[in-house]
Amino acid sequence: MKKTLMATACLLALSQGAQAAGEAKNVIFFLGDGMGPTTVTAARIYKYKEEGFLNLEVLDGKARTARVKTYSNDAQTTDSAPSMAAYMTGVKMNNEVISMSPDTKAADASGKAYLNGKDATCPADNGKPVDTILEIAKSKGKAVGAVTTTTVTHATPAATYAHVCHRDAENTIAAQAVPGGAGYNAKLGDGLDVLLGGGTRYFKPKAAGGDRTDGRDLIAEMKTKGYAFAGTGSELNAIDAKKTAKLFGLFNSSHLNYELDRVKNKIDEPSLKDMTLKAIDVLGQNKNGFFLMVEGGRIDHALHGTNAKRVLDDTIAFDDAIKAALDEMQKRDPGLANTLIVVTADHDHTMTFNGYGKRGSNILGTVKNYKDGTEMKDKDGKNYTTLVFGNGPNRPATRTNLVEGAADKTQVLHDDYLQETAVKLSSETHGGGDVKLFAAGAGSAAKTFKGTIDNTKVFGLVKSAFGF
Amino acid sequence: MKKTLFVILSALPFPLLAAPPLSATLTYESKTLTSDGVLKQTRFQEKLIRSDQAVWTQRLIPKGAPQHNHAEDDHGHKHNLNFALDGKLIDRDAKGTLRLRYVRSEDKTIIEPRPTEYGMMGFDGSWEHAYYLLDRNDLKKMKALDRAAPANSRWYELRNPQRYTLVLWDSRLELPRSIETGNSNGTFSNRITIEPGTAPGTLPWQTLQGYRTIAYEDLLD
Ligand SMILES: [Zn+2]
Repeated sequence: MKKTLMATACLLALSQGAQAAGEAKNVIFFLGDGMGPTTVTAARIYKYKEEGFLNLEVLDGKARTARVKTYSNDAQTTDSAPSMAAYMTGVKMNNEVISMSPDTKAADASGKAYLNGKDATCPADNGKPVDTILEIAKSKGKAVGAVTTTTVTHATPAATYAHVCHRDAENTIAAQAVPGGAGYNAKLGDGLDVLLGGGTRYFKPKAAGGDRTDGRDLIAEMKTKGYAFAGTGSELNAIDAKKTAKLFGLFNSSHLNYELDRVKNKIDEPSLKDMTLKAIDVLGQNKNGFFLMVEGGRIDHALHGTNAKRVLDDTIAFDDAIKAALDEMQKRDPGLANTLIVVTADHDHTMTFNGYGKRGSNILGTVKNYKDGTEMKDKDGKNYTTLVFGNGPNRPATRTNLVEGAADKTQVLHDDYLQETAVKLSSETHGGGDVKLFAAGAGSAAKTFKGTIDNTKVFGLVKSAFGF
Repeated sequence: MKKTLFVILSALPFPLLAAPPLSATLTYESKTLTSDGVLKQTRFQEKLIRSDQAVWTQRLIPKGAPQHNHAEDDHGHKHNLNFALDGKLIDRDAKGTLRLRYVRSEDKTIIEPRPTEYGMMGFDGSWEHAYYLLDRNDLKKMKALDRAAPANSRWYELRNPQRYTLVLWDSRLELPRSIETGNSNGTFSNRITIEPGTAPGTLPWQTLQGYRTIAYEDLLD
């Protein structure tokens, strides 16, 4: 009797779990930092026109979508630390905190951040680390990696593999990635299998031009631990990743360049697509599968700067990386039967989309009346751009007529044109609106992403897709 | 011999005869007449201090201006990306390479963008524009006027049916005294008036000991 009951219970669990459990051997989690719904729409029109779609919207042709609530434990509008940490750990924490329990504070009672330069000064009794999906995957024998266009120690990648009470402690975060060294995050076992992005400054000692105050050269230490290291795009390109077990690449002292500048100035940094494909080559060697996080990290930076052109170019670079990963995974795992792809953002921004422009208008241009193509005018008779921001630094004292050209930075199609803002703030803020999530692959696993969900729920869905 | 000397001289990025440091007060004024009959005017001033190696500009805050808001307007995280109140320092090294930095005295910070970010920060990378406030070659394309002008100065004009530009150029100081642009129907104009003064004994960029330099991207999150 008891046995029968147990069998029934097992069956029940199985039938419930069959919705997702264990169908994903591999998970690739794509995060567009700050890539809110308006950015997605604008990037779509920028590259594929109104009638087209971004790759991230289509995925395998059967993409499921959800809306994600992004508020943090203490704030209506989150920063990238708790929002990514919520995806990675299922725990809602305070702003600035990286993958720690909800009671963790980023600052003391007087409001002073637990930071000394780029080193953390978190008290020992200030919260506890919470496991990330990357750490859990590693503990199950999977290969794990993180790829970004920011420093690899920036909030989003850090939330996958590190735990600290303040995101700005990038020296401390770097040490957590170095197997066997002081401050190493032992939950990473034999270490991250791939770590690619920017930020040599947090890995090199002050004497060598870095920011490290402990005199350590973490790049040298990583090499000693068996990591193949690349410092430029060409060096990465030269690495045979299919025969490389551990890959580490830092391509800038800080963040990588914006895609627009990387291409325009022929800078020897890899594209996000290049890094993503190398990461798949390394991680794909593991018979147990892998977890890979890929971040388009500077979409957010261009948004803070209210420079829509760089926003859209970085969003397209992110989308191109997704396309390349989809094509590569289709070769390795036809139909994505065992690969779950998730694409989302950590929070919104205040960029908005003015009406009623004519179809086919340049998304970076001024609004043209959809009836006759004439310039739409504000109450003072001045034209205005389709994309503007709710707040930010560029609020002219007097609005002037805008020129849809690129001759200089006052003209709206110029690379350096900054969109106008409504409220004058010194820095454009994140937005508190929901973000989109797209999922595909791994049989029924993708179907579990639906409706309006909390960001912490995403962790549970990925975990259950893995069958953990 | 003469030829060699000439070659050497012309290979130098800036003249051997250093112009003395110069200081000036820049007054920016704009006027716009809107279609509903409202005349909008703006006015602000900046201090300019320049030497052969550096150009410094700093907004002048009139007495009685409201305190600028230090409250965190983002999410408690960073950061002040408003450079309007910072000292803007453009300097050049012996090779002629330019560098842009913002000096924030309230927290003794120097913010250093990378060269690929200069455009977004509104710096076009031109020493000519930074130092002379205009491109001197453009003066040659303008019509010299016989209009009365202060000593060592001359008016230049460029006009088409829609727009005009007027420059009062002081050839002794190598500095414009006035730059005005506007449209011909009078609904819009922009003027910078430049009033030279004496440069301070200690130049602003010589007082940056104890400042900590951070990257522009450190202000991003
Ligand atoms: Zn941000």
